[in-house]
Amino acid sequence: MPRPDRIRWVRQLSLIVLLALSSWVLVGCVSLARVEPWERGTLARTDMTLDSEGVDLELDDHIYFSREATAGGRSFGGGGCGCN
Amino acid sequence: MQLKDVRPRGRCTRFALATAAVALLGNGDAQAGDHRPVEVETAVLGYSEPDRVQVLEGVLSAKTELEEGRHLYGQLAFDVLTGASANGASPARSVQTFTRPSGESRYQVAPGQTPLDDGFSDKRLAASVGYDMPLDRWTNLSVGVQGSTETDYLSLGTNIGISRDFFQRNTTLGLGISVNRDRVSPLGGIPVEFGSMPRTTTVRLDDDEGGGENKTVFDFNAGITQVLGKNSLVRINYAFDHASGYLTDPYNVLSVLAPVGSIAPGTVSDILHESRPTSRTQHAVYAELKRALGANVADLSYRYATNDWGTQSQTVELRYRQFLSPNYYLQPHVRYYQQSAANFYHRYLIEGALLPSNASADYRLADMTTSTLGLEFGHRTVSGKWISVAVEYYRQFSISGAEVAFGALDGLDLYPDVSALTARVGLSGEW
Repeated sequence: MPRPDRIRWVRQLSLIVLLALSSWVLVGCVSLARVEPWERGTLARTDMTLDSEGVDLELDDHIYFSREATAGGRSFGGGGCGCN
Repeated sequence: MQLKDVRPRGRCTRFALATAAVALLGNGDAQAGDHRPVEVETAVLGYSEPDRVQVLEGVLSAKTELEEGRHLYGQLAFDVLTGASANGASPARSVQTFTRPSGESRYQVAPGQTPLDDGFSDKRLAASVGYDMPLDRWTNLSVGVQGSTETDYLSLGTNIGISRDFFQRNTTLGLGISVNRDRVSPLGGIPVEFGSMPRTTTVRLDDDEGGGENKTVFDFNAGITQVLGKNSLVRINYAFDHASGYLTDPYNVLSVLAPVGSIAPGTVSDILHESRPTSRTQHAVYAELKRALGANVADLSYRYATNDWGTQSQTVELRYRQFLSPNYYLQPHVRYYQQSAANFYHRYLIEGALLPSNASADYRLADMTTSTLGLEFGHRTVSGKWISVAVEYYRQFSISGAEVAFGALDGLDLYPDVSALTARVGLSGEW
């Protein structure tokens, strides 16, 4: 596929993904009403914590870092390696 | 942005940007207790590309609360790599002979086969230590150091991050900076960029370290985590990455092919070491939504990244944890990634053509799509520890570049797909 077509395809895909993500958020979204501390039972669950399973995510991210041209975004730390 | 007013249910406002800075900043409040439990998380992962790279990785991570709100955490990791790795050269119709990076031996590649260096082997050990403390009731500071060492690579770094909660911890803003200084000391020394691969072997003196080059990586991360409701939260990060110094892969080469119109078009006339720019700047935006659906949890994320090497990428990832019972879960995982090629990516060079400023035939810099399909099984033990087992299938496909097979290369696959299987076993809990 010629390069300009590929770039256009990338932009179209990004728009579709963003719309899908936004739709899911908007459709399932509750209002941004403040959640009081006594209402945070679900949010306090370990599996609702961002980066729970941090070690698993780090192992996965290291594989992708060594196999793909771009990396990062979720978080950083851990230093470099000669694998990329 | 006004978040103090209670809005009617069903009306959603815009969501804010940015994310918590450092991964090791805790989102939840520390649990005080009479004794200080140590949270431990450990996992071992095996990665295997059939006929290519085999990797075994392990991580041990521990975190403990020293006193109210102050945490100390540490991590150890190891990698062992063996197998064969693509060296960047093109396949050919005849047997090809390559000199290993050490220069001490050679290896042959059969006709029609993608050249793989089967002497690929390395071990890596990494360690990091971090500390976080509250500056006030709503603000947290974290600092850390990290280092890793391999046969041919050394990395040392430090990071600092700050996060602040707002609106009764419904919103968290975070900023973080990380700096790493790396030393690349490849076997056989740093090759001359665009220099011809040696055609004969040499004997290295024991005290000849071969020399090395430095590389500096600077990262900046900013973001917001926003509670959307009792069951949902979203995080959006902006990440800036700047690397400078020696960014070339010292083990990768490019084939120089006789041009169309020559006596033997498509045949190999030379093998050159690759050359990459001495700096790379990347911007990435990452968004993640986490939503509880009863006892189950859905985690959807999207990342867009772009760098000044000409690569743009998009990643979509979904994990869904389905509880079969309170102590067992299944978690399917799907990831889809697409990238465009670096502007100096060339599958091969043409003899007699003007040499570009930079060129690499590393397929990881090509136009490429990858997909991951995985399934994790988790079990909570009687003592409250979680054991998880995961199997994943990772495929790199639709690899392509501007160069096509011609002449002697007609019919040969210059951009083969690469597949891998991974298996991971993990354990986490408090001791």
